Amino acid sequence: MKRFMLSVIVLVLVLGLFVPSIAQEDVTLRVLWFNDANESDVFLDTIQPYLDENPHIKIDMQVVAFSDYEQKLKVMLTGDMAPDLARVTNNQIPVFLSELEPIAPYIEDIKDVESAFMAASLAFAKNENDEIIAYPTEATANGMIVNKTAFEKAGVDVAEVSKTWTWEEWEEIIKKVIAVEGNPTYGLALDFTPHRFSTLLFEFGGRMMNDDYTAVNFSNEKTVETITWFKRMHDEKIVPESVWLGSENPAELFQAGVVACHIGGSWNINVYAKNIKDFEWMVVVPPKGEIVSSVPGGKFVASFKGSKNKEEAQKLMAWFSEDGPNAKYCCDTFNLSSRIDSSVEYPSNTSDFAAFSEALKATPVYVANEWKNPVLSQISPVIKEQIVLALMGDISPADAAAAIDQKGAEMMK
Amino acid sequence: MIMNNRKTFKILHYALLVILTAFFLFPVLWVVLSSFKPQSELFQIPIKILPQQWTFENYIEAMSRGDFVRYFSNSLFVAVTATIITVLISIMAGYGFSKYFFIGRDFLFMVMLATLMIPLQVIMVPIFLQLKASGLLNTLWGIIIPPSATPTGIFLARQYMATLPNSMIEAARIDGAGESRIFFHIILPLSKPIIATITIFSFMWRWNDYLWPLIVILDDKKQTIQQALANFVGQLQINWSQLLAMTTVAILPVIIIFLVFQKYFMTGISSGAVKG
Repeated sequence: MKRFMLSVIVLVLVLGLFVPSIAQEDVTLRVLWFNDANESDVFLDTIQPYLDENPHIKIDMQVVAFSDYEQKLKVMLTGDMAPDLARVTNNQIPVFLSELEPIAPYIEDIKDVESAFMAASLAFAKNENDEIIAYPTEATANGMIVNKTAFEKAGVDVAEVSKTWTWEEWEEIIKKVIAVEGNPTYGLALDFTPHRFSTLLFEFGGRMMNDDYTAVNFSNEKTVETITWFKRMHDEKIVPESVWLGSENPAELFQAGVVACHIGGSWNINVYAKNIKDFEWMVVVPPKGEIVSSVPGGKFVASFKGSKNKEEAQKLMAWFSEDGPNAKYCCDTFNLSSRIDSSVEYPSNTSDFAAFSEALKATPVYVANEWKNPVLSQISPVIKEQIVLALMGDISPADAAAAIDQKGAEMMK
Repeated sequence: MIMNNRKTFKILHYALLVILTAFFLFPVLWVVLSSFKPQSELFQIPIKILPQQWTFENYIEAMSRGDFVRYFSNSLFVAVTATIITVLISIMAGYGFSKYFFIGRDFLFMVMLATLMIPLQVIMVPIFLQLKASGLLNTLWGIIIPPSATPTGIFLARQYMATLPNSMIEAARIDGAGESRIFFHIILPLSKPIIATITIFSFMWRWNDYLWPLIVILDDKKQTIQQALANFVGQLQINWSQLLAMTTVAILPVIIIFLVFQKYFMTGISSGAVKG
């Protein structure tokens, strides 16, 4: 009995000595997030199994409105209060590039990450030393969404013709579609952003930068041709003036049945699936110009050099970026996955997501490389302004392109 | 003839007032009515003012997207506490600037007014560092205390109090009243209109304040209602239905405060505006 008691006492003492060192200290990860819809809730829901496996990890999330997100993050970084993990867009990565922590030191083999994601997404996630500094989560793609009912009324099977159509064929068809009484008044709406305009531009074989991405180069034949075409579409009332020369939201025009086609982003699937009740719609591969192209974009998760718990944040990000959690996150937020091998299965609109993915896969890498350059984001207001001037007929498309190049050259000095 | 002219003028006068009221009320009414429309109805062309299908779904869904009861409590605590402090500081400082004579008084007043010229965006980072150093970062007191002394409030109080006769204060002094007694028993009861005006303004500023809480708060649980509302506007999507529903709820406290204090409001504003 004595021996037994002694053994128990020794065991208790030994455990007492070891338990504090075995139990991991609680780590609270400060997460900064912005929402388009329900992403913060889905993120927390997705990482719950990870938190269950690692009970010492707690999450303290702050959701900030997107319009002030960059400002808030800058203030936090300046004040030495960097979050441990933040959601960032492809446009924000260049802004915080020097502050973002490379992921390579925290994982076994960086090649596993490089091979898991689409090249276009990864292009945004690299710094000037070619190091990956963020994990891609969801991808966005630009493409064409059409009012299927309107095409049917004009006797056009849009699902069939869109498989091979060119822009010339599209123009011919769309004139028929808008001529039908009761159909949309206009043929096409394009979001009032250079990013969405560049979908057309790349399709027409245009470029915004030179081949080695060292200069803005709008003054090339195909880019000028795109602006000229876009102006003609406005002049012929195929594209409504109220978007680029006004302030109307093309997504709202499409939902109201005012336009037959919308060149917009993959995120519209979510909105249209909920809101459109009066007609059928679908995503099609955009008509072929010189090439078929989308414009990639997306969201990422990243940690910062100044983050206090970056090691734990990196572990969580690595887990979150694996196929299982990524597929759940993309399915529940109704987004495209950035992973090549994604096993995401959407509850609906599968063919619409597939059409966006198809366009994305056909997109040349230079598209992402051009948009990755922070100068393009900085001169976006100039691009908009000059295209608007060309649409109004105040300057020629060639002059607009030259003015954009000049501003770009000033900024790159 | 004169009677007829007066009658016509009165009718025109009221007609103009009704038109102007309708003009200013229409956006508010549109927000409230649209908050009861399903999202698919929001973008219908031609636009219909009344919902074809009334729904509370927007309110229910919006409430489930965050702890709105907490955000409302936070905003209410901030707005009420900050308003009490602001009114006290404004009235005291306004009294000092209008009724006490000391060297550099007008210069100090001008310096205080000059602070109105500095936009918050310019001093965002220094403020963040100050709040961090003083331990007010990520606290509701960090939203309440620093902006409590508003130049506008002090200016309004000073302008109003300048209209109160000095002889009344001097008589009270001759009768042996102390300075605090004069302030609390004579000046304060006479300042009801300006207190009501500053209360309405301050409550509205604090309730609608977005940028300051954005700098101070680092935790979802301490968010104010305006921060929560802004979260409905994403990078690529805006949830209009839920935004309209929560905006309708968010404007109620300001309307209530205005209705409670409105009888003093016009007096306070006009006194502050024309006398000096």
